[in-house]
Formats: sequence, structure tokens, C-alpha cells
Amino acid sequence: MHEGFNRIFWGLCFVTFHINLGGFEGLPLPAFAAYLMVRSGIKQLINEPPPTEVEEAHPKPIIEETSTDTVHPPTHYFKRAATLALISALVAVPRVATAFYSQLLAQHPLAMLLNFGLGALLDLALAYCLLTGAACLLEIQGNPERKVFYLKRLRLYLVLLVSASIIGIAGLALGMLESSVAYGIAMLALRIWFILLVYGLKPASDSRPSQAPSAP
Amino acid sequence: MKTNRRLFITGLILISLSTLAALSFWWSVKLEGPVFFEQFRENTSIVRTTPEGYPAFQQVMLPMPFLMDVTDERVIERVIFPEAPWPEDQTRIYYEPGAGLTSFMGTPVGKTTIGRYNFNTLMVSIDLLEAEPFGPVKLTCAELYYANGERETVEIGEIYLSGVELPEGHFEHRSSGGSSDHAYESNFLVEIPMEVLEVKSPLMSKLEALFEIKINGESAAKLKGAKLSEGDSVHTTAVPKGPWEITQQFTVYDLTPVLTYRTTEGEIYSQRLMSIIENQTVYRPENFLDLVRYLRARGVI
Repeated sequence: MHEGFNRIFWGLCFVTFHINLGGFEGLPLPAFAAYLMVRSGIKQLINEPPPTEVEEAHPKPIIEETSTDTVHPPTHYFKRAATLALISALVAVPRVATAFYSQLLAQHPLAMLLNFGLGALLDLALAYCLLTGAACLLEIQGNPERKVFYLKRLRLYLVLLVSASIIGIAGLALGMLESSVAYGIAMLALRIWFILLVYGLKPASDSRPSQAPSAP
Repeated sequence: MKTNRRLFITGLILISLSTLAALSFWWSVKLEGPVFFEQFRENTSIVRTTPEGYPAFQQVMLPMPFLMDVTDERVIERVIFPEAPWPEDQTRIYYEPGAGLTSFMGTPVGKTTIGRYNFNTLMVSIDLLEAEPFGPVKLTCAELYYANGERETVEIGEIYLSGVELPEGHFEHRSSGGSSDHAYESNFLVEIPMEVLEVKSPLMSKLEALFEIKINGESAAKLKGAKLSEGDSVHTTAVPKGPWEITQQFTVYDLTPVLTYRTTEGEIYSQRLMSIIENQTVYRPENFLDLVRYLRARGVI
């Protein structure tokens, strides 16, 4: 696995799974540090792009597909993903004191809703930029099948994430989500699927020729 | 890729709009102060004198469930009923989760968060030392004193406090109870011959619109002049009429009709017949939208 995707994968794992110790986000990393890890992985993809076999075939950084649809190089998306990861890290800083932060949000319901909405927007944008950048990378590497595969998966992920976010916001506003274990499990499953999608990018970033899609 | 970009932009717009809509909704349902669930309650105490000649101590307990906004951190420290004739220091309060129904599961303060409201139950106790029958004393509002020094007057519905002497050997309480469909009944055994003079209470006419109240299968008015013999029973039933509106679902009803009768010796007495047990939904609100509907119906939000 390219070290960049490796870091992104582990960063996303730590964002999702961590142990709270004494009311503070602790092991293995607090969420904000995990987002910084994701960002460093993305930066690595920008600074040290994975080797491509058919680079000569795609020398232009910007390919005009149609007059209205411009395909940017992977770095275009990765740069945006890096910025989004940084914003996510900043937003996640107060969550280090998770017990205090939860209490604060409970006392300020508007802030709780805003926090939820902002988190959903950042998650959506990060996933879009990251996977679109990866798809562009796959195209440059000469893997059009895997590119199509990831774009389809991204489409489904976007639909599911947007639907889940809207349900979550509505449920929170209508007081029906506070004790919904089912919603929590669904969101966790969605996040795990996204992490596995990132994990599946391993063959794409190897120097070896990649085979058929093996991602989830 | 083009489809994904459209989906992404649509998703951003939809999430932003739904967040804004949710924020607007929560802003619109904010409570400016505590809202006590209305109570239509008749509380009757038994007035008696100790063998030493002193008035016996009576404690009237009034569970008062209320809602506050989660952002409202004020703590009610004292409650005064301005309409009550007793000294203010005879009224004391404490917080009781679920009006004693779920206190073993409750937190020390008994606060429950439902959506953006905190639900709590304030237990008000009034210590009485009355030697003579009194009342009914009508309470419609309460003055709240907060720990931060603020003061506020709130509406509480209509609470009637009465003190009656209970004649011994005239009635025997056999049974009473209620069901989940808000139907209630009580049974008394008549122990002496008597003539019914009237059956009434301050809230009787108001609650007759909500409940079908029958005594021995007849309306209370028809019982006037009835002769009851020893061994007869007085069977009172109250069945709600039709589906309750949202405001009625969150209102406390406690009706205690008083039967006034004349004995064969010509003496006149009164007997409390039944207590329609309070609507338990008030003490266990669960649905945030129901509370919003209730508060909107009351014109609070």
C-alpha cells in the first residue's frame, strides 16, 4: 500500500474508533490527531504521487471531456481533501474533552444541531474529494475498470451519506434520535464501508500492475 | 464523475438546508420560562382533633410536573401560592422524579431531557394544622423563586384544597382503581341509613364535559333525594368521553365529588366519593413532538 493511503486508512480508523479515558479522547489517538494523520496521508499523495505506468498517455493535467465537465488531476481533489481534513481536525479539537463537550452541546441544542450538520458536510466533502482524487489516480494509472468501480461506489456512498445525514438532522430536531441505537449502528456501518473503500485502494497505489477490483 | 459531482453538490445543499430548517424549528420551540402542566385537582384533607385537643397535622402533597428549556439553567428554590390563606413557610418543595413513580430509577434531581426540554417534577407539600373544616381554597397560580434571585408567576390550572371532617361508621371504603384507558371507579359500603342531599364539587361541572361520571348508574344530579339503606353500595364510575385533545392528554385531573347526606337523626355530613387518579402521561412524557403540540396548543410557544 502506498504510504499515503496507508496513513489515510489508519487515520480514518482512529477517527472512528478510540477509547475515552476519564472523559477525554485517548487511545490510540484523539479524533483531531487522527484527522491530521489523514491529512498527512493526503499530503503525501500530493507530494509523492504513486508511480504510473501510462503517465505518458495522460501528460495533460486537465482533460476537457465536454464543454461543461472538466476532469481535474488527482492533486486538485487531494488538495481540497487535505484542506477539509485540516478543518475536520480543527472542528474535532474540542472533542478531546469529550465528556465536557457532550455536556456543553446538551445544554446548547442549537450548537448540537450545528455541530451535527457541519460534521455531515465535512464528512461528505472529504469522502467526495478523496475518492474522486483516487479515481482520477486510477485513470492515470491505466485502470479504467477500477476507476468506474470506485466512482460507482462513491455515488452510492454519497446517496447513503446524504440520506443518513438528513435523517439524522431531522431525527435530532424532532427529538427522535437521542436513544436510537439503530441509527448509530447504521452510521458506523457506513463509515466502516468508507474505510474499507480506502483500504481497497491498496492495489491501485502499488507499483505492481493492478488486477480486477477487490474492494468491498 | 459528472453525476457524482452533481450528487455531491445536491448533498451539500440538502444537508445545509435541512440543518437550517432544524435550527429554525428548534429556535421556534424555545421556552422562555418553566411551563407547569395544568392541573384540575380537588385535594381533600381529613380535619380532626387529637385526643389532647390539638388540631392534627395534615400534609397536602401536590406533584407539579413542569417543562423547562434545556438552556434554562435556573433552579426553582421556593414556591408560594399567593391565593393560599396559610403562612408562606408552610409550603415546602423538593424535586421528585416521576412523582414518586420512578424515583428508584431517577437521578438525584430527577431531570429528564426530551428533545430540547427538561422535564422535572416539583413536589409541593403544604403543612396544615386545621381544627375546623375549611375550603375549598382555590389556587390558580404559583410564584416561583429561583436560586439566582429571580421571581416569576406561573399558571397552574385550578387546584381546590378542602378540609372535611370524616364521620366514623357511616361509609366503608371497599375498593377503587383505574385502568390505562383512563376509566376509574370506586366502591363504598353504606353503613347507616341516609338521605342524599347533593353530590357536587368545584370541578364537577368542568370535568363532566370530559368524563361520564355516574353514581350507582345515574348522573350525580339524579342521586339527590335518594334514600340509602345500610348495606347499600355507592358505586362511582368515571369514563372519558371520546378521544382527548393534546392539551387534555397532558393535564392532571383529580376529581373528588363530595356526597352530602342527612342521617336519620337529622345531622348533615359529607363524604368524599372518589379520586380520579391523575393522568399518568403527564408524569412520563416521552415524545418531544407531543410536547411541542401541547405547548403550541397552550400558546406558550
